[in-house]
Amino acid sequence: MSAVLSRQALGALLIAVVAASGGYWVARHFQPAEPVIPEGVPRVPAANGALEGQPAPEVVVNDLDGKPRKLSEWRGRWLLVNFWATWCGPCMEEIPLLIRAQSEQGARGLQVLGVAMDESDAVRKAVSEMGFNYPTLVGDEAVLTAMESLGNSLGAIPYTVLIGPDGVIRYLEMGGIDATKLQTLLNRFLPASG
Amino acid sequence: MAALPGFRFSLALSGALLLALPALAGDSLFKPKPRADALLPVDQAFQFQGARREGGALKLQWTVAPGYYLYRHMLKVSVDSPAKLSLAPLQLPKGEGKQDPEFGAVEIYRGQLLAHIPLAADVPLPRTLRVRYQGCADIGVCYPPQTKLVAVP
Repeated sequence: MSAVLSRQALGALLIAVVAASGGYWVARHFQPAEPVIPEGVPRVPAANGALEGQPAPEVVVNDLDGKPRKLSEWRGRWLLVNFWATWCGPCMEEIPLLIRAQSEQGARGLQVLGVAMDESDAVRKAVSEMGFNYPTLVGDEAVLTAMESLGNSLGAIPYTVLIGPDGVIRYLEMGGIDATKLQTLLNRFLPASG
Repeated sequence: MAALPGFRFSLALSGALLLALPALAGDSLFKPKPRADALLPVDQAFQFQGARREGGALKLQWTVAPGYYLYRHMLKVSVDSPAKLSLAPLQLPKGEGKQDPEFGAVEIYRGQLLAHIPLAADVPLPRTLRVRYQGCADIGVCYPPQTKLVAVP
């Protein structure tokens, strides 16, 4: 009886070892490599978290018709400013999520605003093909300047900023936002219903 | 066969395994997923080392920092001056294959990248080249396309 038990225990242990090894391999193989900051190179914070809680600076970027638009035009809404470009894979991946968020959370006061660092024609095509349901601004230097004043000195994207109805910066995020993170973020700040 | 080694041995081995796993995994398995808490400035992530003339060709070199990559299809070189001069196409080595969720199968470069442009004997050398490239970090952020004007030595 006990010999049978010990064989069962050893069998279970063997399975556990194989599973752990497999899990370990999967974790090592699929986890993205973390960028290494060489010695002597300053670490640049991806987003200036000190801006959270501060009033958003005025930012002016042209829309697709070439008309200058100010962030303050959307004061009174929860403004989710998403910096993106058609040449940026991680940016394009999260756009369907933002479209869905605008559609489902607009009644809670959410206003998504895309700001593209790109050519107007490429942006117009993407906006049409992907069915954007939120406004998009576009530019190059103006977008870099806007990002810098909103806490991103690297110019890397995607970069997302949540600004409250009072014009105060609530949250900054460098890198892609997945569905769970976006939902958590919106639940944290937005009122339960519109 | 004694009954006791089975359970006790399993228990001991399980304990040892639990203790050993973190060491085996180093700092990757139990560490939170890397976040873009700090990134390199673009010119450190993709160090462009300029152009040099060597063996009947113009050589262009980049050093890409670990954790970053350049897209092959975003590498472009054109003559800036004199404006009407044209060059042979840029020759690039085979890159690493990457299945990009957005762009499909693409080629990327990591580490050292050496590209060259063959020079024809009867064509004058350009004075300045316009070099354009763009890349991303593995953690999922991309840098804007860079354009450098480089003097041809």
